[in-house]
Amino acid sequence: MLEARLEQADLLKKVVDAIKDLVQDCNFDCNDSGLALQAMDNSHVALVSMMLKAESFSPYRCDRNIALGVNLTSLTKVLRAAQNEDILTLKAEDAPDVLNLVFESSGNDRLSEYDLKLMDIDQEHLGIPDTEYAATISMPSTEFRRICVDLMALSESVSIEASKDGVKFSCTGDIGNGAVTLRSHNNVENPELNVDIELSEPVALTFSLKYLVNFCKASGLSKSVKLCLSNEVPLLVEYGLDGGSYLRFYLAPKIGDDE
Amino acid sequence: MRTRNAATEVPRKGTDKRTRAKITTKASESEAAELVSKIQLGPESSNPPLLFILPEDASPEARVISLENPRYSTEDRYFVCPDKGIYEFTKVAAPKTTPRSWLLAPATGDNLESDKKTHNEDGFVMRDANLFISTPIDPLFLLLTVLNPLSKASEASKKLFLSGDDYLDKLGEASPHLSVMLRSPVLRKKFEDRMKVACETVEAGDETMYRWSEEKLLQELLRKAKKMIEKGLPASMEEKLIKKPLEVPILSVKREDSSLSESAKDGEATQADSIDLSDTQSTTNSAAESLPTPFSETSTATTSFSELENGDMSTPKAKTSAPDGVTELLRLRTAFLFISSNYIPLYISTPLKKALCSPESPVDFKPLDTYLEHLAKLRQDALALRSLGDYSRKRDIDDDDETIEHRAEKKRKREEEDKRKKAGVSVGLRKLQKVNTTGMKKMSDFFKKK
Repeated sequence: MLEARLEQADLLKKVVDAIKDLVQDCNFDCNDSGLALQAMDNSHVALVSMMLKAESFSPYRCDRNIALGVNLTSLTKVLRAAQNEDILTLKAEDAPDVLNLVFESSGNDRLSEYDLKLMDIDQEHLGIPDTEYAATISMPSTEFRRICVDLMALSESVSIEASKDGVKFSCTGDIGNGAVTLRSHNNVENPELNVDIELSEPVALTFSLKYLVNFCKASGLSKSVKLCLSNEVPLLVEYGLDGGSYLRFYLAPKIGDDE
Repeated sequence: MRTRNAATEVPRKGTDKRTRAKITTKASESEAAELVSKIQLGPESSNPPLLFILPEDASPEARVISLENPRYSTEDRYFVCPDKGIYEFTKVAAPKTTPRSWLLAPATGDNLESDKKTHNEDGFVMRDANLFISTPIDPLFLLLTVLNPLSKASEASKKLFLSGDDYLDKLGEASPHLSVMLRSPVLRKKFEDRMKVACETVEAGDETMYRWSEEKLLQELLRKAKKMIEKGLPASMEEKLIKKPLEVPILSVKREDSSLSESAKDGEATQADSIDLSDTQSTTNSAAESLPTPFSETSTATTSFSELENGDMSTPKAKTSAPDGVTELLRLRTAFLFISSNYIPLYISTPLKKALCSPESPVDFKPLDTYLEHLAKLRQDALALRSLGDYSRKRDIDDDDETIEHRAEKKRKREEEDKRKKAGVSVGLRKLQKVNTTGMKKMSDFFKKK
């Protein structure tokens, strides 16, 4: 059986919020190392990979590998009943029909309990190899979101060019064009605002802005976001979480018909 | 049918009638000639010629006279030949819907040249294509009213033996024309001979006395009926009165048919035993009463009409799987009813029919009655079944409606489910589905399946 206690319901809420607009139904794969999720969007051009390590929970107990087939919208509805600061406990049997969620309010002695019906989801798992990316850019997640949102006003896709000068987000649309260039930036006082560019070779790729904006919904999870690019491979957008947990998005680059 | 519409003028020229069974015009020649001599159409002849087919080799004394119709007790025309007997006329007319005329043209053949002198050479157009065919009629029928007069029909005990002359005198009183003809000893003999078959006879000295006998008449009529069906009934009669009543109703479902007919037979077998005889009599009587109408219609029908019917007959409408003998029985009865409804006064024919249906009847019609009853039951069942079928057909439509409804329901459910699924789909997800992903490879192209 599974029993996982999160100090802050906030985490799961944000994770599910970030994923629910990309994936409809998905399996939460529970094993002794933690809670993992891998799912693709309907078009299969984007992939989300989440890992909530056992360390993120206190305590975490999972005797057996359990797949919790969840409709994320439904899960969102249940999670809305939880306050951000509530202690959240996930419970499930070994072959569960329902996922039991308990929200404990630390302030008052309120305890709410929900059972979410589960479903069988036949999902294929893709093996994602560790990749040496040509460019790895770390930046404030808010900054990334702002760039994406701003550029989406002009176009549907953005070209990300990483060079030694910096990383340039540019787009061309019907009403004009725009570009945002970030250089490596080191803020001693506030390291969260650092922009760090690791580059082994220059990369220029085009991506769908809508998807990127979608990924940016996870911005609340982490102050910084890591973009990893390599030619001919999907872009990795990673939001690092505490305790080695992460939320990763992969997006296939647009090839060919650049507008 | 009878000669009520026939010529009022008795043909005077015996020679005309004696030339084979041939068409004879008997309009006054001068009048016809006058008509045709004018090129334009003259006024309609007040006494148009009529076409007759008369018996061959009739005696010169033969005449068309008025006699009392045995069935209807009206004055009708009969062709009476002192040598050959009495002939009735049957009118063959074109139906009113397809009016026709006769063109009487002078004969052109060499062998008919002699006739030319006596005929109107210019021909004549007859307004109505009517043809009167004379056919022999049994004098017995004419005798019935005198043998068993209506006034004494009910009081059987009071019937007396009378000499043949007495009866013939009575007949002469009723039909004065005949009294003249009856002077012929040949014709008289004919009448007396026929008298015997319907009467009990007693020899009183050298004179034979006759008394009406219903049983003998019944036997004679049955003999006539048998003779009538020997060569087969007319096609239209066979179709309307034999085939149709014996038609086994076709049931839509064959399986039910067999089970139904079996059950019907079972029921009928037990029912037949308990049938009230008076019941069957009354039913057959009523059937008999209803029979004459088609006869009078068919007898006035034209050849073309009956041909049409013949054509219809060639296409089998329904199977007639009547048991052996039943068809024959029906034919016999139909023929009997035909004769009695055409030639026998109603007051005589009614008791005759009763006698025919009674258990003492010389012919046992019971198999026919039971079979007809069985058929009626079948027909009723078929009707019920058909109405049931109609109902089920309706139900089918209803079912269709239901299935349509069902489908609509399913569709609605599916839509609802879709909606719910869509509800399970977040707004962002739906927006994302609209994103143009051309040029973007699938994830499985980059990452291999585990």
